[in-house]
Amino acid sequence: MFPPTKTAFALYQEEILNGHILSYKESLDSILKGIIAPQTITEFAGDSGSGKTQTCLQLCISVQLPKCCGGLQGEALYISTNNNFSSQRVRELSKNFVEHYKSLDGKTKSVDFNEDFILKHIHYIKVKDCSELIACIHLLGNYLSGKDVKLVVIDSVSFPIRLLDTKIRKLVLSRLLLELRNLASLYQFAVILTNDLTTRVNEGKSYVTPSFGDSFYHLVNSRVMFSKRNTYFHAQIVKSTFYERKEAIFFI
Amino acid sequence: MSRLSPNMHTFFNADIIELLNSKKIYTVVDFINSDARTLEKITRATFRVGNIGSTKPFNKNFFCSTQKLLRLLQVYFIKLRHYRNRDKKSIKTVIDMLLEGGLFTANIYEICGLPATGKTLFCLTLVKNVISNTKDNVYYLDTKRDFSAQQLKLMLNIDNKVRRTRGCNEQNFSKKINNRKDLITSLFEIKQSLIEGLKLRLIIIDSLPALYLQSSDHIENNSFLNNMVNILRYLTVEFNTVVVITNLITLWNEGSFKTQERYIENISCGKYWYNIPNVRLKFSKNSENKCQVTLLKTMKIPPDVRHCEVQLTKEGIKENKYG
Repeated sequence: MFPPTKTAFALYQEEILNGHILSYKESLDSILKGIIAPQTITEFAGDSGSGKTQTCLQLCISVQLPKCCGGLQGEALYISTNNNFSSQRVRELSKNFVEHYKSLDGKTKSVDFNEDFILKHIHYIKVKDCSELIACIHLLGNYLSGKDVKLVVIDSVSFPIRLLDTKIRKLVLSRLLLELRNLASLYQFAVILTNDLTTRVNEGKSYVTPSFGDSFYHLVNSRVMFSKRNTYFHAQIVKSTFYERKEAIFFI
Repeated sequence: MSRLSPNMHTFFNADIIELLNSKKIYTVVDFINSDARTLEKITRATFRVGNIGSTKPFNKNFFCSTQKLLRLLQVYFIKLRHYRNRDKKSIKTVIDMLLEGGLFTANIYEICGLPATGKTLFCLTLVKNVISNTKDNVYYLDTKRDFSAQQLKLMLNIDNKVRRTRGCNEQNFSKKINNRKDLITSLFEIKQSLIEGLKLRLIIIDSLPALYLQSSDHIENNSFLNNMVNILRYLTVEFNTVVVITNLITLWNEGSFKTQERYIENISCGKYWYNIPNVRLKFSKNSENKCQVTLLKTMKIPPDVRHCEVQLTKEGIKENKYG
C-alpha cells in the first residue's frame, strides 16, 4: 500500500479545519498561535520552576473549549513521569477559567462548562520509568479509541530517558517520537513534551541547553524556551514552522 | 534493484508477490538471496518451479555484460542533455551564484545544518518558486510533519506575481512518510506516475535522519540508503528531475570535561551517505534571522566565493541586503 498523496491545497484545508490550541493567556497566545496543532510535536524546555507544567495544565483545560474560542473541543491526556501534576492546581485554574468563560458573549457558549466537566475530561497516567513509558505509548492506541483526546502531554520526557544508557537514548527517543507521530496522525491530537536543561562544554566555555542534543531537537516540530525572571515568566519560540520568532512575558 | 512484479515471470502472480512481501522479500535481490526451502515454504511451490534464479529472463535484464558499452555511451549523451536542460529553481541571486546557475537536473542536492537553521524554510521557498514560475509539479516527502501548507500559502500570497494560489497549491503533492518502507514504496509510485506522464521537476525529502535514526543496525541502514539512492539516481537521470534531501549536522565532543576539546560538526547518516550527494549546502545561523549558506561540495571546480548570507523571513529565504 502506498502512503496517500495529498495536494498542498487539501493539506491547507485540513490544517485550517484542525485548528490549533491556545493557552487563554493573551501574552502567551501571541507567540503560540498555530504552534500547537494536531499531528505536531512541541517541546517546552526550561529550568525547573519556569512555568512549563503550569502552561501544560492550562492547555489541558483550554483544549476543551470549542474551536471558535481557541480550543479543539476535545479531551486531554496527561502522562506524568515526575509527579508534577497537582489536581488541586487544576481545580483552581478551571475555577478561574469557568468564571472568565461565563463572562463571554452568550452566542459563543455551546458547551455547559463547569469545574467537574473540565476535570472529568483530563485523563491522567503516571509512569515510573522508561519501560513503563514505552509500554504506555505502545498501548495508547487501544486506550484512545472511544475517547476524543486532542492533546497528549508528557511531563517530562527527560526524566525516564536520562535513566537509560547514553548509547541507546537516541534510538529510544527516535522510536518513541515515531510512535507518537503515527498515533497523532491516526487520532488527530497534538503532542507536548517537557524537557529540562543540561550543560554543554565547548572550547572551555560552558553553556546551558535543553537535554538530548541535536538529534532530538531535529525530530520535534517546535521548541518553546521558558525561563523565570524576578517576578514574571518569559517564553521564547526558538524553532517553529512559522518564521515569526517572538518572545512573550506572562504571569501565572 | 527492481521490485518483483507479475510481468517478470508467469510464476509471479499478485498472490505470490503478496506472500513474499509479507516475509520481507520485495526485490529481485531479496528473492535470489533467499533460501530455496524458505521460498518453497512461503509460496508452496515445488523446487523445480521455484528454481527461477537461473532462468534466462533475469540474466537478460540484469546481468548482461554486452550492453555495458552501450550504456556508457548513453551516459555521456545524457550528461550533455542535462546540462542544456538546466532549470533555475533556486531563489535569489546569491544562492544561484553559489550554485553557478541554479539547481541542475540529474543531481542529488543535500541541505545540511544544525537544527532550526532554516532548512525546511529553504525547501518551502524552493517549492514556492517552482510552482509559481513554472507549471511543473513538486513532490514533498515529509518524514516529520514539518510541511506547513499554511506557511506555503502565506508565502504565495505575499509574492505579488501569483494570483491563483489554489491552482499553485495543486501542483504540489505531499506524502507523509512514517518509515523506510513507505519511502521506497512512494519512490516507486512516483516512478510509475512519471512513466504515465506526470510533469515532475522537483522531489524534496525532508528529512533523512528521521528515517535513519530509527535503527542502529549499520548493515540495515546502509542497504536502505543504497536502495534509496539507486532509485533516486534513476529518477533524476531518466526523467530530468532534481532531488533535494535535508540532512542534519550534530555536534560531537570526543573529549571529556577535563580535556575540554572543541566540538566537531558531524554530518548525519554515516560515511556511506557522505559521498552520495552531488552538491552539499550547509546552513548555519549567524544571528536571529540571518543565516550563512556555505557550499561544501560541488560537482564542478569550486567557485572563488563559497558562501553567502541570507535572511530567514516569513516570506521565505531572502537575500541579505544589509551586508
